[in-house]
Amino acid sequence: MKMLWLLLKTNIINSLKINKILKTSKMKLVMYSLVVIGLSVSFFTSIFLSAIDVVVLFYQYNLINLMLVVFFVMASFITFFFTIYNAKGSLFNANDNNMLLSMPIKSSVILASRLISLIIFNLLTILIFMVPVIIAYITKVNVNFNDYLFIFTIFILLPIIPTILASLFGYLVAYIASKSNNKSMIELLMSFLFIIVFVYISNSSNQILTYVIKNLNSLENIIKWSFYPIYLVYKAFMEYDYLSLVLYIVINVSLFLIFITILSKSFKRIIAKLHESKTKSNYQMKHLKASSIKKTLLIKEIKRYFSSPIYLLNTSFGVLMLIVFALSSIFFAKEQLLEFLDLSANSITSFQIVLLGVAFITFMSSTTSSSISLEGKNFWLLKTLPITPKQIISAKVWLNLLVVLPLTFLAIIIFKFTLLLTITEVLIIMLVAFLFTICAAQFGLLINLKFPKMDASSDTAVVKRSISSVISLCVPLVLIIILINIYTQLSNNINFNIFLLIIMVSVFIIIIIEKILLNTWGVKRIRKID
Amino acid sequence: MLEIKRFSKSYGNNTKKAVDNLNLTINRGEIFGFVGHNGAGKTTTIKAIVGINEIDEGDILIDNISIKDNAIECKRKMSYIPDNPDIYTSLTGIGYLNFIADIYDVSVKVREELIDNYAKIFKIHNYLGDLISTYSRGMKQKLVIIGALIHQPKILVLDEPFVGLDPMSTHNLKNIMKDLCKEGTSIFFSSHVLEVVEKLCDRVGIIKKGELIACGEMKELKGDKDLESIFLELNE
Repeated sequence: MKMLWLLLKTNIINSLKINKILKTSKMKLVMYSLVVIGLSVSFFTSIFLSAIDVVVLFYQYNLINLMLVVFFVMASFITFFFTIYNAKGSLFNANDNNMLLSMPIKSSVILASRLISLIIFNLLTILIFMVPVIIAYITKVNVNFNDYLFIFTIFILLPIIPTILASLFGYLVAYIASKSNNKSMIELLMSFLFIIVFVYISNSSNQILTYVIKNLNSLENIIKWSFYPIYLVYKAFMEYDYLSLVLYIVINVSLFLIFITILSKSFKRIIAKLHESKTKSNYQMKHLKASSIKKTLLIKEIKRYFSSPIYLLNTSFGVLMLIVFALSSIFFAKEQLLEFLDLSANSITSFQIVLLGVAFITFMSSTTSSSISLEGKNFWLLKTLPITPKQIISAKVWLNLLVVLPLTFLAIIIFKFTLLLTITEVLIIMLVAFLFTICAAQFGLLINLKFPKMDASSDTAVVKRSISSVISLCVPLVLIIILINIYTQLSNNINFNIFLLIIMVSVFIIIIIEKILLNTWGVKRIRKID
Repeated sequence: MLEIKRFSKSYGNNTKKAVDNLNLTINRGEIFGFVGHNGAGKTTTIKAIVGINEIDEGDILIDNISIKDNAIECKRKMSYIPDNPDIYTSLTGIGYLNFIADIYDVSVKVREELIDNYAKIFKIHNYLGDLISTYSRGMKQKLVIIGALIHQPKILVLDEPFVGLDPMSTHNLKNIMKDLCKEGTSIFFSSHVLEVVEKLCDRVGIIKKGELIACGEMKELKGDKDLESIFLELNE
C-alpha cells in the first residue's frame, strides 16, 4: 500500500508538473492562475446556464430524478471515448515502465498506480462539466442527505468502469496492431471505425431519448439488460435503494481488482509485445534520388504525419467526415439532405450550409498546432542542419494545406453536383476553404511556437493534452460561434454576401499579420527553443 | 578553422553562467578533446557551436564566418553527433541518410558511394531499408554518425560519440576520425573516457564550472602523468 501511494504521488506530481509550477515566478503564477480561473468561471457559468434549461426541460416531463442518471451515463461515455486514446500510452507505454519493472515492486502495484492515476485524471475531466450540472440540479431540486450521499458516491466511482473498458479496448487495438507490419494504419482504421460508430450513436441520441421517454415503463428492463451498472445507478438514485448503491460499489471495486489481477500477470509480456519490432535486414543498396530542400522537408513532415495514428486522426477527422458526408450525399436527393440536416424549414440555403461546414472544418483542422512539439527530442537535427527557420515553418504549413485542401476541394466538387451549387458558389467556397486553412495553419504554428511541449512522453500528450492543441481547437470554435451569432443578430440589416466578403477580407488581413509574425517572432522562437 | 571567442552562456534568469568567457581555437586537421565533469559546460558549448543554443556573449567563428551572422553557411561546413541519437523514427535508415544528403545538397553519386561505404564499415547496410523505430540505440548512433559524414564536413563536432557503440564500431570510428584529420577536417569532441581522449587527441581542454581551467598540447599538458591524474588534480 505504501509503495502504491508512493508511485501514485510521483506519477501525479510528474504528470501535472507540480514541481515546475511551484518553481515558476510568482508573477507568472498569478497571471496563469487568473487566466485559468477566468476561463473556468466562464466555462462553468455557460454549462451551468445550459444545465438550468435542461433541469427545466426534465421538470416539464416530470423526469427530474432521471436527469442526473442521464448525465452520469453521458459522463461515462465521454470517459470511455477519451480514455481509449490515453490508455495504451498511460498504462503500457509509459517511459518509466522499464525502470519500475527493474525495481522490487510488484507488477500489480505498478499497474494499479497507473490505472488509479488514469481514473483520477478522468474524474477531473468529468468534474469540469458535471459540477455545474450537479449545482444546477441542487438549486432547482430539494436535495436531502440521501441525495448528496448517492450523488457523491456514484460520481467518485463513475470513471472506474469506462476507464477499465476503454483500457481493454485500447490494449486490444494496440495488440492487434502489433501483429501487423503497418501498426499505424491498423490503429488508425480501428480508431476511425470506432469514431464512426460513436458519431452514429451520438446522432441517434434524439431517437434514443424519444424511445426512452415513450417506453419509460420498460426503461428499467432495457437498462438492466444492456448495462447493469447503469441500472444500479438508476435504481439507487431513483428509489434511494441502498442495496443497489452497495452493489454498484462492489461491482466497481471488483472490476478494478479483477482487471489488476489478470492484467498484472501478463503486464511484462504486454509491454514487451507492444515494443516488439521486426527488421527485415535484407536491404540492397539502390539508386537514390535527390530532392530540393523544400521537397525533402515536406516529405519528412508527411512521413511523420502518417506514422502517428493519433496525430493523423485528430487533425484529419473533420476533413474525412466531410468526404464521408459528401460521398453519402450522392445517394440522397437535395431535399432529403436538407431534411437530414434539419434545415428544410429554415431559410438557410445549401450554399450557406456547405460554406459554413467547410469553414468550420478547415478552421478546426490544424496539423501545425502540434507539429513543433512533435519534433520533441529530434528538434536538434533541424536546428543543426543548414536550413532556415522559414523553411521549417513553410514545410509545416504546407503539410497542413496538403492534408486539408485536396480532400476539402473534392468534397466541394461532389456537393456541387449533389446539392446543385453554381460554379460561382463552388469557387467562393473553395476560396473560403483556402483562406481558412492557411489562417488556421499559421495560427496553429504561432500558438505551438508560443507553447511548445518538447518533452512530451507520447504523441497523445502533445496532440490531445498540450496547451497549443487545446487553444487552436477552442479559438476557431469560439470565433465561428461568435460570427454565426453576429450574423444572426444582423441578418435583417446586412446582406449575406457582404457579410461573407467582410469575413474573407478580415481573414486575409489576419493571414498577412500571421505571416509577418511567423517571419519575425516565429523565426526567433525557433532559434530559442531547444 | 573553429574559433570560440569570449563565449558566455547562462540559462533562464540564472545569473550564474553555464559557460563563462570561453576562448578556444581548433586548427585545421586537429582533434581537440573537451573534458569536464557533469554539468561543467561541455554540452552547452557544443550546442552553441552547432547552432542549437543561442550565444549570450562572445562569438563562434567557422572558417572566419560568425555563426551569429551567417548560421546557415557555418552549418554547411559542420556536422554534429549528439550524445543521444534521437532521430526521426518514422523514416527508414536510407530515408534518413537521403534526407540529410538532400539538405546538404550531396550529389547522388557521392551520397551513394559514401552511404554504401560507411554502412558497410558500421555493418548496418542490411538494415537501411528498415524503419528507424526498429533500430537499437547503437544502430541509431551508427546512422547518426554516417549522416554526419556523408556531406564531408570541414568540422566535426561530437558529444560523447562512443556511448552505445560496440567495440568494433568504436575502433572504426576512431580510425575514421584519424583519417578525416589527415584530410584536413577539424574534430571537436567531448568525452568522459579519458583514455580515448588521451590516445586520440592532439590537444585537450578541461572545463570546470563553465571556465576553461587548462588547455594545450596533450604531451605538454600531461607531462609524465596520464590525463586522468591531471584531470583529477585539477578538479579537486
